[in-house]
Amino acid sequence: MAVVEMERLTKVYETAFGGTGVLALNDLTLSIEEGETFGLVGPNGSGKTTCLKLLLGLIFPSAGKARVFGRSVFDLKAKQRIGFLPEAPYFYDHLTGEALLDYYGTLFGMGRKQRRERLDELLTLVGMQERRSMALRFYSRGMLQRIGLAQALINDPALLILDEPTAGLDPIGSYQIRQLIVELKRRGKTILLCSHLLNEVEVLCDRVAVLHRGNLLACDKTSALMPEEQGGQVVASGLDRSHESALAGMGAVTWGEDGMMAVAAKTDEALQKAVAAVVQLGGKVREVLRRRMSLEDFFISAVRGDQRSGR
Amino acid sequence: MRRTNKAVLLVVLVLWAFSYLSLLAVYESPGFRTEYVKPILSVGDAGTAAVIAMLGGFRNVAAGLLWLRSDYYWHMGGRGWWKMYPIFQTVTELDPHFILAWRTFGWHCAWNLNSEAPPDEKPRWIREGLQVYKRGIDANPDSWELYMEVAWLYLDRLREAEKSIPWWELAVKKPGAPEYTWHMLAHAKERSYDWRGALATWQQAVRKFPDDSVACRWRNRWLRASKDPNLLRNELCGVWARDGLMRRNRALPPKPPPMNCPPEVTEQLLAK
Amino acid sequence: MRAIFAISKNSVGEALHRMMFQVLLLFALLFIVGGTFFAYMAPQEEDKMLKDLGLSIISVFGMIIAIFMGVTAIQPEVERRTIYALLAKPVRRYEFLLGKYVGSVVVLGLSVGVMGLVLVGTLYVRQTVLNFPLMIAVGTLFLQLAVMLAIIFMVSTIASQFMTVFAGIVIWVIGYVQSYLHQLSEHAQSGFTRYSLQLMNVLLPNFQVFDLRSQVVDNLAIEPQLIFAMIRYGVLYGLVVLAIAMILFNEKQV
Repeated sequence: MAVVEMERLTKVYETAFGGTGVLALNDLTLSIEEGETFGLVGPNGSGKTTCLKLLLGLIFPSAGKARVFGRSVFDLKAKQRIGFLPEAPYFYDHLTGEALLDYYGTLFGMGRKQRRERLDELLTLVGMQERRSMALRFYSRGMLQRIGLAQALINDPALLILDEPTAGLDPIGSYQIRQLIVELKRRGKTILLCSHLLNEVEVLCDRVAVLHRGNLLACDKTSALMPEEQGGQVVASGLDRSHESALAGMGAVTWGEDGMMAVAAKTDEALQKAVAAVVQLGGKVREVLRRRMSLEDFFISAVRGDQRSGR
Repeated sequence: MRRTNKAVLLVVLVLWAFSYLSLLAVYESPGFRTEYVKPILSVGDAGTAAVIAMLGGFRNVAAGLLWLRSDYYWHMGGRGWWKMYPIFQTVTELDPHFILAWRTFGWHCAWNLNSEAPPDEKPRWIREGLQVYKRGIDANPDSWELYMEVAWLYLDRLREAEKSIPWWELAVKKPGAPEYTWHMLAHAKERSYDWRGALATWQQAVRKFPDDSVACRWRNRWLRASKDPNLLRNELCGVWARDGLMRRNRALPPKPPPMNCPPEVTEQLLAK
Repeated sequence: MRAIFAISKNSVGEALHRMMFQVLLLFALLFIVGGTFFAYMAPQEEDKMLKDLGLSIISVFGMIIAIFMGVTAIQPEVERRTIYALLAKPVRRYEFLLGKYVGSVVVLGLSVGVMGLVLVGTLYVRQTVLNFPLMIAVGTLFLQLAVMLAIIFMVSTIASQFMTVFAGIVIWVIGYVQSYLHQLSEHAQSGFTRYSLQLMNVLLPNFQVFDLRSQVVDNLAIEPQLIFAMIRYGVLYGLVVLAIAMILFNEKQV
């Protein structure tokens, strides 16, 4: 069942004194299935935040419609099952971490006992147990991000919308958040992840949509967007330049330091032959690297292609 | 209207109509102090109205601050007393319901400025004081204090007891009028030699204020005098004599006696 | 209801923690107590002066606090984007607005209450008798400020913080001149002037009707009928303004 459905969703921001507005989202149609981790990527101003705001009922579409759990985005029953982490979250300075979670828990209609248990569980999950009684004004960026994630999970949502969840975090913090997302994925949550960090999206998401200037450039499985290319590279040691001619037929040979060398094969067949040849010649195969396009490569080529087509 | 039910707008409009009707009900409620608006008869009046409108909620505060300023000029004396005049004028324009300001303004004109003014201008300041009180009454028709001030001006300043009586009568009828307004009404009648009227007033005062010992005493005094012609003569001649003394002090012409008051009797009464 | 209560509670906590609010209240109390010294200087009748000054101070500071609460209720939530996390939850927009309003009214009520207590207390020390009309006058002032707060809320849904402050001051000034305009309309010579002035009375709030200062200062009786009429007007007008604020906020793109 589709958890999120967007059908020809369009958003034009009107200017104050008439005239042509700003087209933030143009005719977007896509859906997110239950249990899927969906990535939404695009350059700044591509319409990602607009898309999220439309799904959360914060702004209204100029055309088209969006549904969440089969209901209107304004339906409170749908919102009961959504958790949202905004970008660079900022909360109420005067509250402590636990007071904030308690407050949001009340808004979901949770009873006191339920809130207390959930609070403890979440603070442990995000690693904020020790700082629970500290006022939010003293929280660092990373701590705010963690507490932000905790408040997004307070209602144990079926759909989690995360806007730049690891932005501004140190490597350890980013890693911990990513691990959390993996765990939530394992628990069967549907996750909509909006991020600039393509390597993160590549690792976490099942499907990715690429937006540029409000238009959908591509939407497919992550693996389909990053096909493995033919050929690869064999890295070996224990051979010398006298063996180069035997290997030259399979691909370009390059020599490194300490007796390391690499053969770049253009086809899978050549790659297989290079591996066999190294072994036959008495060398040691250190590494076989398949040539694969990264999501970043795909993203840049897609955006450039869109720019060239004059949109 | 993207998402709002137009029916909600209709409900809002209906509620607004009801709220205006409630406002009109407030204007009609007993105890609502109608805003006094001076008739706009000149450009100056229009200018004042415009300034009052612009000050809005700060009018009372501005009036209060100016009122405090007047205290500074009061202690300056002499020259300062003349400067108080425009300040009082502005305070009463800004806050026409500031009774104390009207009272002080009128008193200042009729007593203080009258005494400071050159001889040929003295009557003018009495008239000015009266005019001030009357403007105050226009703005505050239910204020016993302002009627009392007019009555006192006639009774004490001008020694014209007969002219003060209608004003005392108005004062005692207003809500909140204290016992001494009745006392002064009775004394004004005494000084007009209307002892029967004075007795009736003392009796009314005792009925209205049963615990008023002063009214009781005077009522009893006039009751005894009403039964004894000698006592009555002494009371009336005593009033005449005391009034004569005050009139001499203020260089006012003497009034004719109410009856035959032999000098030895009046001297005896004055000595008391 | 639950959401309104939770949001109002948070709103109260937020305001009470704001240093600016604490400073404002402190200044107001200092002014009221300081007013006793001014009263000694006033020619005659210090108590009347104290009542007048005290109520004026409560009115002015109440106005400032109402503007402060109105300006810091919605716009900062939108600017800091805390509203995103809130409206993403199962909270209706009108619940958010009402919750904020109720919280602000509570803070306003507490402030006016504290200022009123200090004034009544100061007078009690001088007169050794509790002045009930004064307490009623403070109560009606609070009602007036609650209506003004509703108007400021309405303006803040569509205007910037600066414009809201400006609008708040203008509304307070205009509100205090309505009775004057109403009386002027009755003496107006041309029909156009009369109807224009009456139209202003219909559209704009009349804050003067809630002001019992002159009755209290002159020790006049305060009729219950007047108080009921006043409350009816305040509640109805306030509801109208809040309903408009809810409509505007419903249409707002955050």
